[in-house]
Amino acid sequence: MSGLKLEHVTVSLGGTDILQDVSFEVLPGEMVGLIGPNGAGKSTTLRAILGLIDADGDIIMNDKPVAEMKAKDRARRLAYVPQGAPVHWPLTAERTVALGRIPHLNPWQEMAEADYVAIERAMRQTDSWNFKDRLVTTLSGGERARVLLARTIAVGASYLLADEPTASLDPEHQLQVMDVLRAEAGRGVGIVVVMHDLSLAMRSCDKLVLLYGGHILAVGTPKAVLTDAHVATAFNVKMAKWSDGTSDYMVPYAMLGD
Amino acid sequence: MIKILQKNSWVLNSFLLVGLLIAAVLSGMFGHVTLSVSEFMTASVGANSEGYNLIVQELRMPRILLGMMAGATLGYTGAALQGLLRNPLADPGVVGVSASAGLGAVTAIYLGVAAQSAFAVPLFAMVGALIATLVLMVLAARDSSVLTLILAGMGISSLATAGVSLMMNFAPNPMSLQDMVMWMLGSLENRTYEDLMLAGPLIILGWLMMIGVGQGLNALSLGSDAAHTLGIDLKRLRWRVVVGTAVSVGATVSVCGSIGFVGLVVPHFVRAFIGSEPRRLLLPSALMGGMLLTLADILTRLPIGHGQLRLGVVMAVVGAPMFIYIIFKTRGSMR
Repeated sequence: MSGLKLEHVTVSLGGTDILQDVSFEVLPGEMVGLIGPNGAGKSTTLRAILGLIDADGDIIMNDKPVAEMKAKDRARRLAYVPQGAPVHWPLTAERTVALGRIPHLNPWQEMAEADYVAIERAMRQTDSWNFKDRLVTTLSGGERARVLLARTIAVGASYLLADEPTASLDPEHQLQVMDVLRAEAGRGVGIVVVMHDLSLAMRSCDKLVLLYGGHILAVGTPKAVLTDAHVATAFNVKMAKWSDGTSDYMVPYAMLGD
Repeated sequence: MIKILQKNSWVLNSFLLVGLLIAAVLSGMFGHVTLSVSEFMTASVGANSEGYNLIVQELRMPRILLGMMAGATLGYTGAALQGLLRNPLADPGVVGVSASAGLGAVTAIYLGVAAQSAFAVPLFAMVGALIATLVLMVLAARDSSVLTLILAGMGISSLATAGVSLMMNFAPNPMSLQDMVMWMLGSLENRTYEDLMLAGPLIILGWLMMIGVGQGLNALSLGSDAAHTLGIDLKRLRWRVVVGTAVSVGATVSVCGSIGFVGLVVPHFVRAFIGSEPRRLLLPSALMGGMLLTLADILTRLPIGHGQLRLGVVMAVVGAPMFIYIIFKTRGSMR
């Protein structure tokens, strides 16, 4: 069966389990939000899927263990937007997005027509094509985030993992980034996105995985996961909740105390 | 013009290749005996007088070839190390191999073996570079972080420099001290085909180890995590660049002495023309490094002051102002 599946994944660092027995599944075209307080293990989960850290348990993509895949094979299927992604050199936006095509090229190969098509499509989708010749060092935070998202989309992967892609963005750009991810899900890409804004998570995600203290507190539809009890346990806050008929909203307004 | 170069790096590479060839011809023309272009060309294929044939084929050719190879090595490894370490201030000196080769050479002079054989200095220098490479591999093998690599390189470099100072301090006689200082200043003077045969294969071996690293260096522009997720084997990339640099630069320094600034300045100069993408910097940096060193070597033959200008000195005198100028021009774009 196709899908990205985590089964009993545990990650230990320095003798401490920072992720314990985590199991969930991401289907093609599904947008899954990883939520939870700081230190819950959200980024660690993404890093374990990508093989950036060693993990016990099984991580299986389309019936094949990810750990057994060749690096380039894995890179073509799993794309990643790291948190606060750096760009170390003043490259143009287009050349930055072009880096996403590396998994498709051998070390000496130049890009072909298909690569340029993928780059332009990713940049148009993220609304960054009009500044393709500008250096990333001269872009605003929102423009830069869109370029880095385009870089990940340009990979053309089956699954896209994004670590807080909306951090430090204004509300308009937050919505824009989530809409781009939704559109990718619409094209059949499985999305895993780490986020802190619960309203945005409710609005955009098909499924939420609530992590707390390195283990899963709840998995399911946003409504099933974001109950008062779960939110109180995981975040230690009181939330105001309401619905306008099309979307649900949650805003924290007080700490629960000890 | 800059835009055309940025889109088509082959345009810049073609210009640089022509420039390198012109520099080589100029280098063959100037010296104690000045030749015309046609005299140089005919002598280089043995079709001139015996004297001219000898000057060009035996004296100038090995010097030209070594200069081009040394400059290309320093330029290429500078660009590769800057890409690997994601630091525009990195150069081949960073890994500590140049200083260690220097220590080997100075040891040969200190022990007096340099006077016994012309190969003693380059062989000792090569051993110094080899030991530094092995120590670097042991120090940085377990940890794959770039910081460990830089710190290990700095440590090796400092230790080698301390050793050189110690040798100079206890130099057996003023002549040895002068030989040590002269060697440290770098030169291509009186280099022969034997020197070329000694260093050439190792220089080429180092180049071969670094072929095809450009894609990995490009991916590293996005940080090591992103590079890993783009399918790059970072450990392998790191060792190919570091060991390739150590082997080729160690061999270069062993026959040419210490020559600074090429590895630092050349990649910056190339960036001004074709942008900062690490992969696209490699070949032009090699070509420009070869050209720059060949031209600098011509300057060492000018009759200036009492003694003769040394190649390392020319590179420092020309390179440092160039570096400051480039930093001035590109300030703000490196953030």
